[in-house]
Amino acid sequence: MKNLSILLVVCFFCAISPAGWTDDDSAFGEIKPAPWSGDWWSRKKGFMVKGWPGHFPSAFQRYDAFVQARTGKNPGVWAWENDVRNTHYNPKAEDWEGHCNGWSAAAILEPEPRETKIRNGIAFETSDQKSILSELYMNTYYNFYGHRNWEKPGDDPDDIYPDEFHRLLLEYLGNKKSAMVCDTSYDRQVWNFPIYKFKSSWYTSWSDDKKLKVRTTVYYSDDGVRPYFIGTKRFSTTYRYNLFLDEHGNITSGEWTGSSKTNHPDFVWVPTADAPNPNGTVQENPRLDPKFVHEITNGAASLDFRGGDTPPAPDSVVVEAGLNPSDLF
Amino acid sequence: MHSHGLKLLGMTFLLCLSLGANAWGQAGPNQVGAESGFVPRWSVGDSWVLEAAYRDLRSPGDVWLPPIRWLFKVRAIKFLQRQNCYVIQISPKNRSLKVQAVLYLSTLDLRPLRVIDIFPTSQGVKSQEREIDPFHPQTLSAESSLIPYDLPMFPLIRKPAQRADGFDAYRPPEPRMVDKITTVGGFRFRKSVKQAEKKPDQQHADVFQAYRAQGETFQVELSDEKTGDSMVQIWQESAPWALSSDSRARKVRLISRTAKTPLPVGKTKGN
Repeated sequence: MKNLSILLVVCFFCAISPAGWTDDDSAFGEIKPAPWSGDWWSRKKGFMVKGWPGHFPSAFQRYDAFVQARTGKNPGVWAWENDVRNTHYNPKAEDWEGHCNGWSAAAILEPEPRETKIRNGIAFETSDQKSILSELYMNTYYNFYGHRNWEKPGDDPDDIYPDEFHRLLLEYLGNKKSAMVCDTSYDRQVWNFPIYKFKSSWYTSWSDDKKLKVRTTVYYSDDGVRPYFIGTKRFSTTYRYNLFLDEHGNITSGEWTGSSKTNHPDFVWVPTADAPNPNGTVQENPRLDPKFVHEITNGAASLDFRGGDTPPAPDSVVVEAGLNPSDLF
Repeated sequence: MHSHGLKLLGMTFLLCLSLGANAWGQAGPNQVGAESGFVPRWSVGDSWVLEAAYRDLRSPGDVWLPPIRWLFKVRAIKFLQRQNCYVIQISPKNRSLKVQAVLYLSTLDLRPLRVIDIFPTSQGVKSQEREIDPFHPQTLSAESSLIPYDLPMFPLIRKPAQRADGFDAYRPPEPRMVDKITTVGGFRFRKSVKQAEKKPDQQHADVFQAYRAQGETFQVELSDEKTGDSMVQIWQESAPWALSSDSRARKVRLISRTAKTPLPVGKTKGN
């Protein structure tokens, strides 16, 4: 009879709370607008230099034509990208090799191209603009969290630890600071996707009041789309982990649990700004000039662009951030 | 007996109050520390430039992104949290980046009292202010910013004067353990940071020899007990900021000095 009562109580809790989960509290964060979806620009297919059926000339041929019209000189972006020695277009590349990191950073730092731009009479469709931006952001300055797992001796497969991951979700998405890019594969492979939203809930462990059992669903922008796709296609993943508290309620560590032990992010990076190529590397097409890229992507639909940009005065950036220099200094 | 107990309690309370006031007053431990250790001193208008190179940690091999030069400028001294603060604006010098920071650092021991990060987003430039506990002295970490404004806890401990018998060789001070509390989204995250000071070693000799002017040189290592990540900074008394700052992700060098030579610390007594 006693066993039956316990069973009934357990059944009651299961009925009101799916999977037996009764939350103590929850957290939520979202960046709006979400980073846009875009093609990941396979190196094998070479859409950036070859175009694709129904789309010619390619984005980089259009770029070269525009810069030539502006300056009188062909910058050679297409030629550089088309040279297989630079590995950006390579018919022998692995199927998964592409520009996902460039797309991820561009989708976070640049507004989505949503209309065709005519520059000096040359049409740049949204797919052309996304292609050029994805190349531009192949190198970025960024803040990096965790350690990349190369599957070498000493690499820690549990890193990035969930307490750090939880803190980053709260800091960047909860505080509406920025979306962040996550390598979703905890092993050697790298799959970069921007995270723009999370929902997290937790309860205190029945057996240990210094342990929070957490379930967090993370929403990613997807790059499995056609080049001309507009908007955000998303997918989500739910991670489970425990957070451990000290006697003051401070979170001191964490552990991945359940299937998240082998399905959790490897590292997180938050792009801050475009960066030039490091010396001696071919990570990014060096012929691409950010100034001309932004002449294409920014501004009215149709322009005959002239003039350049000048670095902003320090205090004008402070004002742009919504702060008042006379209050601060 | 009861009355005696109350008196004792009252005296204890007053004693605690007095100690507490002393701890946050101008003649508190910061001042004492300033006498026995090194705290950089600046004036309004001082400026200096750091050059920071960033390692591409996503890529295989030892790849470093081109460096950015950051201009640090002391814009004002303001009164905040019942103490004077240097207000420092940090902006990029050689690149058109919309990344900046504004730091309010106590003039007593450079503890951060207000930190504002400014950064670009797809929707324009934003700013965010960190939650800082002014009553909990801690190191300042730039882990969420591109700008290398990391600071150890000051004062840095001076080497003891050598005794006449010559036996008092340099012995590094005991490492300081700092519980770094980050408050975000209602959670408090604790990270244990060890601050160890020692005599600059040979591998950093090139850095401090290039800047050697006057005063003592300090090597400070800040390490995260859990991850093992660490940062080594070299400070020198005549320089406005760390001469160098090295971690797995960044290499930072002080490249110019326009700030006035800091006042000898002993002369600040009685401020």
